[in-house]
Amino acid sequence: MHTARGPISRRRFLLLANAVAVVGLLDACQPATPASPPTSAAAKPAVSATAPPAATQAPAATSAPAATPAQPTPQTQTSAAYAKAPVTFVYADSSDVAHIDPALVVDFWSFTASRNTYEPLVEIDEEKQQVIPWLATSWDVSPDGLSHTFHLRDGVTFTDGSKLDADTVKLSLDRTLELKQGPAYLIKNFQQVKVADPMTVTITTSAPDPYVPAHLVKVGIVSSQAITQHQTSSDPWSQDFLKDNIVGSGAYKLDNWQHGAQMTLVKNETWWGKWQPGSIDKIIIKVVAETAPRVQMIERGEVDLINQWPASEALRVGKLPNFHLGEFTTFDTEPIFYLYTLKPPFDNKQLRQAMRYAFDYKAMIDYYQGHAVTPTGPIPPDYAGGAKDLQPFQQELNKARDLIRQSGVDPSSLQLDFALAGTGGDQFEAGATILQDALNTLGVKMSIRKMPYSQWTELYSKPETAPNLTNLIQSPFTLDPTQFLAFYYPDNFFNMARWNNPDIVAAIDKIKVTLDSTDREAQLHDIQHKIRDEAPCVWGCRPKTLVAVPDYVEGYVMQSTDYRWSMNFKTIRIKAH
Amino acid sequence: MLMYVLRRLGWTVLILLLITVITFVLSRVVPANPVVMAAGLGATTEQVAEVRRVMGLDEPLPVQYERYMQGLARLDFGTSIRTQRSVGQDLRVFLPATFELMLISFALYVLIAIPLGVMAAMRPGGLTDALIRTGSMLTSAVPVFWLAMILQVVFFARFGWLPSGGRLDVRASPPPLVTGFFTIDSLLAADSDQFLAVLKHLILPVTAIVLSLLAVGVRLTRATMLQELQQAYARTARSKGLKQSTILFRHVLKNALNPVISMLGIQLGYLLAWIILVETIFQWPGIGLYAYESFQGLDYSPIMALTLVFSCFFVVVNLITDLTYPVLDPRIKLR
Repeated sequence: MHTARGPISRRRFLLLANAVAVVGLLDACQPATPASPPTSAAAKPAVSATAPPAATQAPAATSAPAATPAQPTPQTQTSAAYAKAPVTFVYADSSDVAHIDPALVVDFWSFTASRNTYEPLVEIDEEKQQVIPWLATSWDVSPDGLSHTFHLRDGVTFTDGSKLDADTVKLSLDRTLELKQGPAYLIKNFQQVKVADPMTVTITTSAPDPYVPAHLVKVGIVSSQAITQHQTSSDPWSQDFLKDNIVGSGAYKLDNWQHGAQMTLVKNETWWGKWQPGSIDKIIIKVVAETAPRVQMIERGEVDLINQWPASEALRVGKLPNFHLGEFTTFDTEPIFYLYTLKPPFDNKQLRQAMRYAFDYKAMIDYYQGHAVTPTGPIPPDYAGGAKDLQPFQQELNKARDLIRQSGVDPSSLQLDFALAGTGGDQFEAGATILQDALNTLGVKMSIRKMPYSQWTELYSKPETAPNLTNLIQSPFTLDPTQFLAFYYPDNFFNMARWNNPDIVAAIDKIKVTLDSTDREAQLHDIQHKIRDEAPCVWGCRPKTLVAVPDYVEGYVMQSTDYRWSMNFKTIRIKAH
Repeated sequence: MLMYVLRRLGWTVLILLLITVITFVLSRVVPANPVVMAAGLGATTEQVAEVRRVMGLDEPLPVQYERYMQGLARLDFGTSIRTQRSVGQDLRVFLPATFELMLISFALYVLIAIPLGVMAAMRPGGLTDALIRTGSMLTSAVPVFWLAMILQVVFFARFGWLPSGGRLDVRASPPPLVTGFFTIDSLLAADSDQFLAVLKHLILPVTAIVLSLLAVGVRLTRATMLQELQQAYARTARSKGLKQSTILFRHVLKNALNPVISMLGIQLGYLLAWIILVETIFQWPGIGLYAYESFQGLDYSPIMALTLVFSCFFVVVNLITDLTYPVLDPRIKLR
């Protein structure tokens, strides 16, 4: 190599260039300086929370007389402690909203938009885990359990100026039923929705149903004026209009939606609830698909909250100055391993039970860095209707060996096929490898295949192609425990075990129509024991939801029945900072 | 020339027709069930069947194809299973963002790569040549997504000099929509602050793309320049006493550029495909993330539409590339 000044050896040049590059990279890879808001504070210890601040929720009630409107939170801090209006809140979400039509929503990104803009007749009090009045102030149930009569709240206005009345509710429910998507499966037993008077709606079900209110939590009410004004002969339910427009009665309304980039919601001035000091005026839901930039953005103060925290990052950021760690109990089982029961080897009950004793539950808790608990069965004991006498599962390899022996299956002959669907986080891969290691010690071989989600669903359409095992999340969607048990129904696509036990199905069906709560509890108790014994699944872990929250954000409530990661903005209050 | 263009366009239509058949068949033949994902975790079998019926996926394949082609004739690309929105609507939202990033990156790449290649060719074997060749090789050797992440870690997370991603600050509103190119739209709105903000957000993703492409353009330009500099006409020009710059830019460069233009055309075509990685890292709301989620979920209509768009783009770029040859070299006649 030659220059105008003379030769420079290639070796010398390359050494110099590499040295410069390494020094630069080492410096760049130092930990970033975290964002430091003006009010500095020492890192706070983790705050375990299952309770919301109940900023704007009505008092709990079931079939009670007319509930009082939303009560202000007893304030322990003065208004001066909260940020002055207008308050803008930026939320980094891991994906774009797919649907804003409440009759179509199925994922938690869409719930974030829909739940803050549309409202149901009844809501969930996350702290008390019970259904409370919302657009309906009270409801009555007929003695035979076939009719539920809802008394509607006065003074509720939609963003198009129309008022809530019984015709509006009827139209929304009929629309949801007709479209047969989103939450329709929850209310498919609604035989008739009748307008009893302008502010009273009576729902008649095909069979007694004690869980009608629990299901109605998931059905948002749309302005009837919006539906009727935009309907056409080819689109009688105004789906085209409601794909891009929100006409709800919720605390917020849609301001702007840049698809794939961000959605802006602003306060609905006509909302019937009471706002507290520090409540958010404008919400920017920004799409940040990758986890690393999402975490960096909250550390640098570019966003106020993010979703889908990996446990390790939540723990790290939660220890930083001006952050605290929110640790929330969830009812999710993640992972749950489904054992395909329509063909060998898992048509053999003892072999399935062996899997339950084989799995290393402690290793799975270690994956979540101790912020998890071992499940006890199909329904968590702290969930409504969960059996309290079931013990957490434990790895007992000797018992597993005994059961394999009793099953008559030679473990060395087993070549299990585990299909890992492409979506979801690392926890599924971790769970699969933990199971694989455990089975190895028993002399059972298991291979893991990772594949796109759509291909995974297709494999499960036929026994010949279905893998022996897979894993998924089991997550409650309502406060109806039989919904939790829906994963054991043969007609539920996500019953990946394809387990069809007619006695169990009959028992679940019976619970659904049992009106006496004591009787129902007893039946739930029995069925959980039976399902646990039958072992169509291995319930791997119940992780806690860890969220690192800036200290100036108050009122974050995990939505335990919206797959955890949707946001309820109306409970959030921003402190002065 | 006109006949040549018309003939090429005719072939383009046939190629695109063939692509629709192949893509349609392949996407349906792959064992996958995208409807289940759209129906949701709690969906019953009946609900899944209803979604399938609504999307027209319960009909025989020839009927589905016929319906799709009828829609295509009206520029209706169908409906996304995932979002149940018109794919055409989605493309109108996402494509301008991608094209803005792509075209600015590529223009910058050409403006940097060719001069660097010329500089390297001016003194082959010298320090400048070594630095240019090594530097461009280093940046192009690393995967673009790694480069993008490092840029983000350094310039956003570490120093906070530049934004982590997106087209604008989170709290900013976009300019009034005219072209969908925020650079142009902000200028048209006479909002210089916003224009500068848009440029600031372009720096990191553009840098990642340019650095990833650099080696090819630099080295090819250098190689073709060196080849041309060896030709008799170049030696004659030198012996006549012409300045080096005159020889390079008036005589040699034009002849050296033809192969470079060919390569640039191919690179531009492929850029549309792998820009997905950069868009994902920088949360750029373009076709990248849309394509990724559509392919993941085997969302048929967006897959078909994206394949057609990418193919069309590739074909058009190649046509433009071919049309530049006679401009650079009048000896070339297009027939």
